[in-house]
Amino acid sequence: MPMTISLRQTWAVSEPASVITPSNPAMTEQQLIIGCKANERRAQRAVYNRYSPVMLAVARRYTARDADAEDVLISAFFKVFDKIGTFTDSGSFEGWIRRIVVNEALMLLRKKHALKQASEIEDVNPTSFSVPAEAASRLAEADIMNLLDRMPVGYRTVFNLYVVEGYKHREIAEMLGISINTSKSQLILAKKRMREQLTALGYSNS
Amino acid sequence: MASFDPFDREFGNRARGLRRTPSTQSWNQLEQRLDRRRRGTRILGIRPWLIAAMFLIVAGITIVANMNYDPNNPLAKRAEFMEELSTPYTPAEVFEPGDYQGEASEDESPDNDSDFRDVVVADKYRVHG
Repeated sequence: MPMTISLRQTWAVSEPASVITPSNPAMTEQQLIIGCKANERRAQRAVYNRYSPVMLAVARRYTARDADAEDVLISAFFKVFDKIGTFTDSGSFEGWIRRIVVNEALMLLRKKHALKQASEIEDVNPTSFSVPAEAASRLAEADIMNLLDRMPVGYRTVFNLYVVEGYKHREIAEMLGISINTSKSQLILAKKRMREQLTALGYSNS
Repeated sequence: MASFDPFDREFGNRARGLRRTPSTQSWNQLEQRLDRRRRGTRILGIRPWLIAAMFLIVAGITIVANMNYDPNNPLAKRAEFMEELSTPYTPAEVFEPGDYQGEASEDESPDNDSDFRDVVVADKYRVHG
């Protein structure tokens, strides 16, 4: 039975791409995804270890409380592993996880009715609230979180979505269930608050 | 990026670079949730598919049992019919005309019945004692 022997030998030496062994800890992203799709706990742990610090910071920018941010992180990663089958290789894996984290953070804010307060302002010149770029380049990481924490939830959410995540006002309006003008108004007010705080902290001299 | 403001760009870059180390309990909680999902959802300790299977079995047994007891059910009649074909016909009781002779009273005789008073019975149908 030479054919059978040959097949057995091939099967024995070939190793699935998703197998994670202690001797091979540095898995590629593709291998991690395959492992997660196969529901391998070690691959899930590796994905969590790789992306959780970034994603916790993302969650923390929205929630302003460490405990809430961790809750968002756990829910988001559970969803990541639960829906990993829907992830297609066409996009960035980190970007996909980040979108899930942002959505989970927004869900938490909705549950807490934190997004209800939204005002619309008219006849405002956005340039009057602009902040010098040099101020941002000198910002310490702790100050970034501190500045965001001091803003009302509505301002902070729109500011995060627009400035940090790069969503457009139309997309933000859909995500938050507000009008485009309200989204723009919230951003302008957030920048106004940001400018005041930067001045108070000594970052802005104008 | 939707924003072209230099401050926005700089702030966004710095904010996206932030890192925070989660607590060790976070992974444990996540792992517990993943284990629960792997075991599957349970209702009173029983899996839903098992409840559905038990329900279907009980419903099937009930339907079959009722079908056998239903005298008007065509399937039940068919079974009875087949049984009749395979067994010789034996009437439930044997009718002997002699046993009934003389039992009829005078009032019940067709000759006394007003409905049959004018009817003449042919001789061959008459019972001759």
